[in-house]
Amino acid sequence: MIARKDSGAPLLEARDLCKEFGPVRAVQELSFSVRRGEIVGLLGPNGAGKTTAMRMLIGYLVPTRGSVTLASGDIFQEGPRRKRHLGYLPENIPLYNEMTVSEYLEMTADLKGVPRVQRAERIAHVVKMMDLRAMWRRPAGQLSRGYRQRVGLAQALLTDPDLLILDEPATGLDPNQISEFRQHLRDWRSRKAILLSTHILAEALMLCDRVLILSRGRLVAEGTPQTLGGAGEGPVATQITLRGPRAGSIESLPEGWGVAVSEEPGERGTAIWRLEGAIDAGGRRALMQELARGDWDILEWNSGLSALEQVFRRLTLEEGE
Amino acid sequence: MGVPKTLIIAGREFRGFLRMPLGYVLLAVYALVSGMALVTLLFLFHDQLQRLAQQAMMATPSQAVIDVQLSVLTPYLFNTAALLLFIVPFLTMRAFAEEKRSRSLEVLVSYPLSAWQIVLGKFLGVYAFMLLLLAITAGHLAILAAVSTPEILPVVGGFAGLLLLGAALVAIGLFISSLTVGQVEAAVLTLGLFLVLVMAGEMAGPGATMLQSVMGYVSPLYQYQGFGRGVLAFDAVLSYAAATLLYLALTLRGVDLLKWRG
Repeated sequence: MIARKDSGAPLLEARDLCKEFGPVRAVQELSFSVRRGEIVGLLGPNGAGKTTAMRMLIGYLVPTRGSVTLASGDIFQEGPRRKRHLGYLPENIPLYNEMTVSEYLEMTADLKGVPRVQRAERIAHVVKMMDLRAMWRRPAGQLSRGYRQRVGLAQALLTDPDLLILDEPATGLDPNQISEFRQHLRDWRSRKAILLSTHILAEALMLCDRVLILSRGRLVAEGTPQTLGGAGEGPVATQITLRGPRAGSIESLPEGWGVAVSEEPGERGTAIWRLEGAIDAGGRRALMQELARGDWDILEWNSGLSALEQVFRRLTLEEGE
Repeated sequence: MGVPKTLIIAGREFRGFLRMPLGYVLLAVYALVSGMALVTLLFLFHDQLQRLAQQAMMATPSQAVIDVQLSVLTPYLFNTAALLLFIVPFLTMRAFAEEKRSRSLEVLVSYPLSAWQIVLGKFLGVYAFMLLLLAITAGHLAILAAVSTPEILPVVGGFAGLLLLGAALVAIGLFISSLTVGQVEAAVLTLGLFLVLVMAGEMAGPGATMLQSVMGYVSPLYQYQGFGRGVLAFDAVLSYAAATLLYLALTLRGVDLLKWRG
């Protein structure tokens, strides 16, 4: 689905956000915005400040400096009114284990101010969307991780909020659940502004229209996964695994392309090479022709993701040094 | 117009006790200890009566005067007040500390709620469960009234004192819970603070300096002495009401502080 980015005011805007805990600067001068119709990924290694940033964005932590605007109002000055537009899911999906799914969602609807006449309808809608019917009477403490996440998402969606803030939403889900979750996000993309934090780059590449890379509390890069990975007009960082006709045959590849990362012996005198390098569209065509002529087998060709991965590693490791 | 959000939070807090073993353990311990106290006092009272009867039969003149209020009611009410000091830390420990640890407080804060709705809701929920405990005490007092003829004012006054004392203790416990992350730490600190306040109250009394008298005002049990004897002192009522409001305001501040330090 193509996202329809809203040209109006951003639903979420962070301006020069800083959070200091004594001498520790957890977040420094973080500025960005999220508009309706886009999924923005907040990327960063563990301890980069993603959770602290999210806690400020929902009004749980007061920034040392800077401001957060939610639906055109300050989250700390006009919090209760503005938070009607917000759906939030923290990383470990905290539910009240002693409450059943039905009790939890009914309580959440009341606390979020869903009008009494719409309550049953809204709850039925999210229960259907998250496929929670079978778990309706079950205490939250007895739910699997996947179902806990569905309940967590259901509470976040009860008011059909304009803005969703999700902290590491895919952590602990199995591949089927992850796929299902990604589909939900794609479905919501056109109607909502979504900010999700993750340290899984594949997640960001597949889902996000824009990513923000956070390292040591600072925003070190911002852009689409493609432009950050160099897939715009310039060369794309690429990883290729090849089976060559014989050991040492790598020397016959076009000069100056790629760096051999490893060499392993293959079957019947062949050799398997793993290469990394940056290559543009013309170079890619030439390389393919060369490989075809030289009796090379392409076992794996990976570009884009690895490019973003390289950028991520470079930025976050540089910052760490 | 739906149920006020404060009452929804209170309802969840109250039901939480009924859905967890902790709630039943506290009910059982409270019933057992306060029941034992009443039975022991009644046995002692019975012994005293028998001794008096024997003395009367032997025609030994005796000046001893015993009545059920002094021998049973007053000590029973004091026992109950002291028991609350040990029970309330376990009632309040989860309120904020556990919600912070599990991050469910973050979810609550992301809802369109104000901090005072959360604090007041939690206070009312915990207090409602404490009323369930005090219902056992009310039952004991009813039994006492049925088997003897105590004056009604000390019974009602003593119970009203327990209601006021309980509210102040719950507010103090919530304040400590709002400052801590682990529920065990919250319980231990709350109990420690209660005991320190009780000991501070020991300094007050006739001939005390001004500072020592002030200590009496901050001590939960010192203030209860009047209620236990059937005296409804205005300053004691005021002192409990002020302590409840003060600690609720401090809890609000504790929740606010959380926004600064995480």
